[in-house]
Amino acid sequence: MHFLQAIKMASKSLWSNKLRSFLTMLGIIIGVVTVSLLTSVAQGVSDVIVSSIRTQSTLAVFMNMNNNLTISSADSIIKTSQPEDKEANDYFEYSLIYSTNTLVANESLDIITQDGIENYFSLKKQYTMQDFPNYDSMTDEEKALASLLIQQSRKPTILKTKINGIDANFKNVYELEIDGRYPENSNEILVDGEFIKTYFGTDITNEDAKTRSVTFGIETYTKINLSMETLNFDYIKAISDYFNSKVEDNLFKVEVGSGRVLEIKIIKNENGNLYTIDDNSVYINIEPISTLTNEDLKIVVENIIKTALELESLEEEGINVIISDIYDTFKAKTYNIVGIISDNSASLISNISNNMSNSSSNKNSNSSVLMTYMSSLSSTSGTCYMLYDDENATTFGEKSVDYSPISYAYFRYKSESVMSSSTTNLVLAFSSAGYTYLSDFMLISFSSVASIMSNVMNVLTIMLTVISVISLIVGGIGIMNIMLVAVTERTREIGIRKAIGAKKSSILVQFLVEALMLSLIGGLIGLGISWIGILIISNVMEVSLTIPLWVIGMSVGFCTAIGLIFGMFPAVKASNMQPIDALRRE
Amino acid sequence: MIELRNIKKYYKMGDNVVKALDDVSLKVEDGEFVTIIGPSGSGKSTLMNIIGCLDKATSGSYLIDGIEVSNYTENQLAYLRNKKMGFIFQGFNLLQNLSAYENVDLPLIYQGLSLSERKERVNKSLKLVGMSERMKHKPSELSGGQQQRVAIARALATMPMYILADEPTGNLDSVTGEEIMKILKNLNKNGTTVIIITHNDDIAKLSRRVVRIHDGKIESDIVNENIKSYGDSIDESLEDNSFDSCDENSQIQIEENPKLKEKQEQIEILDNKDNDEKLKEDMDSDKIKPVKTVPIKRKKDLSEKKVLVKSKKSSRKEEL
Repeated sequence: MHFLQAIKMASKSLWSNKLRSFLTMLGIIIGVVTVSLLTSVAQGVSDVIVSSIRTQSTLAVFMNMNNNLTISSADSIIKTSQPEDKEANDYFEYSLIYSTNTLVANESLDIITQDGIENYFSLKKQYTMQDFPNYDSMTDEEKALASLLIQQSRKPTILKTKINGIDANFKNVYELEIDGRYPENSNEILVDGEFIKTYFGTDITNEDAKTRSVTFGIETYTKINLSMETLNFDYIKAISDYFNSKVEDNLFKVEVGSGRVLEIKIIKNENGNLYTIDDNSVYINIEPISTLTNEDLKIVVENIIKTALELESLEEEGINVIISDIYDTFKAKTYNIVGIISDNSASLISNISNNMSNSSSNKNSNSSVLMTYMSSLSSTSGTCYMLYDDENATTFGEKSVDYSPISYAYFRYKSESVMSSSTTNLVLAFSSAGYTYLSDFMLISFSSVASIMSNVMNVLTIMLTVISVISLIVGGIGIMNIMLVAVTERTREIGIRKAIGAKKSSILVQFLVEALMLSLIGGLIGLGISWIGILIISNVMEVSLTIPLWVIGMSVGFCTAIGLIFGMFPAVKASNMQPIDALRRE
Repeated sequence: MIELRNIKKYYKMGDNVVKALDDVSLKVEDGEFVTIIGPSGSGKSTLMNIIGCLDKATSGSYLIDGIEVSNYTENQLAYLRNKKMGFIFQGFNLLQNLSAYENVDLPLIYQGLSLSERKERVNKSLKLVGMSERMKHKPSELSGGQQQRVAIARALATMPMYILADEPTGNLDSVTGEEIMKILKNLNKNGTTVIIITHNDDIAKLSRRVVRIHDGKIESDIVNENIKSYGDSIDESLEDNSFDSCDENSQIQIEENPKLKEKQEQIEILDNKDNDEKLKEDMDSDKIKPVKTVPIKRKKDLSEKKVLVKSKKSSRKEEL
């Protein structure tokens, strides 16, 4: 009998007992889902971690600091850690890293404090097309202004992330996969793909990104608000024309009585304009001049607007000039992107820096990895050119290495033979300086992390496989059971088939194929479910997972074996029936 | 030609030995229409199982076309059943989860024929028994007579030399039973050897040769010269030659039986209506002689009586 015919017959009889077939398959399905889903996840996660750890040399050691040890004192401890007749640099090269949280937004923000951000979003009106029901009947200029309003009221994306200050040694110590180069100047920065996605959007190439710059913090200004009772396009246009004519010369002088001249400087926003339109308001940002009182400021601005609108009195037209509160403002710093860190390296850095340190300030940080240049510690200037964001987020600027706490350090040994002794010396040096190992600082070598990780994963994979094999065997017993029932139930059918000429082998193949189909279809359904599961997990965990080929092969192979082994006994039993006995059975 | 020589079939039931067949010798020529008749327990079914290669004799020799097959292996016997035998059972024995078409197709699948050839043969067989219209139906959707027709079509599809029918009409009413017999007689006309096992004398009356078996022994082997078959009266109306065209591939060796070759005629496709009408005509014109009743209590009669009793009871209940 043709094999194809056997498959046809088997599928027919399986289909005629749909529920029973499905329930029998369930055992296999669950087994295969367990084996393929879990091993794929374990394999995928361990591949990502182990491969990124493996990119580091076996000679690299990572040190994590929890105590408020400043960079300069850490540097001196390390320098003198080795026996007196030896220099630390004879044993290893090292790099000290200062890490801090920072806020990044892809549009400029008025306020950088957490409260300020919340206020900003709750108060700022969001314009949409629905706010302009008569848009179609507007003039072109009005349409342009309406579009500007909609565009300007877009919500900016705010990224709270960590920024790491690295020194000149970093590139010699830590093998980072980057597209571009390391920062060599305090206005240069290394970013990762995640950051580029958030800041610039997804449709930007690495090459393009490397020509861009990013700004942390915000331009310094005092906000002045002109509010109008009704949105008057004529006025907005007049103000906008006036400011546009003054873009190059942004210094405004106003004479107030008794020959006093007040002077303000309006700051350009990121679009190069001197004003921002929002709601029924026009905002201008002026550089804070401490000598001016709010009253004086108001007079100056009123004068500017009067000139712009060619009006004698603003109040008659329903225009109010309001001086907004002057906030503590932070100096913004602009960085040029010089390189992009590969996803592999970025995930390792963020994993190590987030998971291995217990600092509470890490819990809000995003996965982005940013690295900028911190002036070399070997130079005596002692200035850390880093954005600084302290606990209360009140200062933002440059801080001396004498005050900046060290976050972590990377060491790279010159040879394996000196590794253990010089590491011991390091630990001893820090201990004798009053820092406790494990609670204040920790040393981890990449090779040991990698081997521990892969050992754990191997054990996990073996365990999962054993569990799955057991559940597959249970499923197989289910198949055997149901096939034995089927043989008994279909004794008469076997008799009829034999009477009309079925050979022993035909009956054997028929029942064997049925058992095989049960287990194989179950296996394929299981793989399908796992595949969907993997897709979901990949999306949720934002890692790319796939079912490894060996898992697919193993599942299919195992199901075949289960079908053959557990289907054989019932099939042999069926084929050995004597036609006359089988026919007699009712 | 099949030939049984001193066939014995013994069963061991505990300490006793039951002699189902005791030294039976029988020779059936190709093209014969033989009825083996005997009361239940006489060994007639055992005899048929041995003839049909479903069972092996305890001792004795069994020859099909002069070839000794009593020592054949199970697979060789399966081959013989598939190629040379067509079975018709009392309980039809159709596979319930397969359609009429698929049931007829099954032995051909086991023969390993190509799809196109199988299709042709199945259609032809079903046409021959008048079941073309219902080939998609499952056995449960067919009446007993129709199921038996499908079973006959299944037996025919392989173009066997021997049709073995075990109480083919046993589960059918008399009119349907006669139709089935008519089909079998027509097959016989085409040269197929038909062996019917029955306990019904009415059926035996339709056969040329009647073998009576009792207690595992052949009691009598009579050639009945005065039979009248249903087929005789309708031969003239036969037009379809579908079965002839099968003969090229057929296992039926007509040359071996020259008498039959002369008489060989085409077989008509009978749909039910025609069949019934013809039957009535035959009955009216007395072509079919009413068969003498044999004083054997038939199960059917008993069951009818039971029904009567039951209905009486139920009517009493209603009165109450």
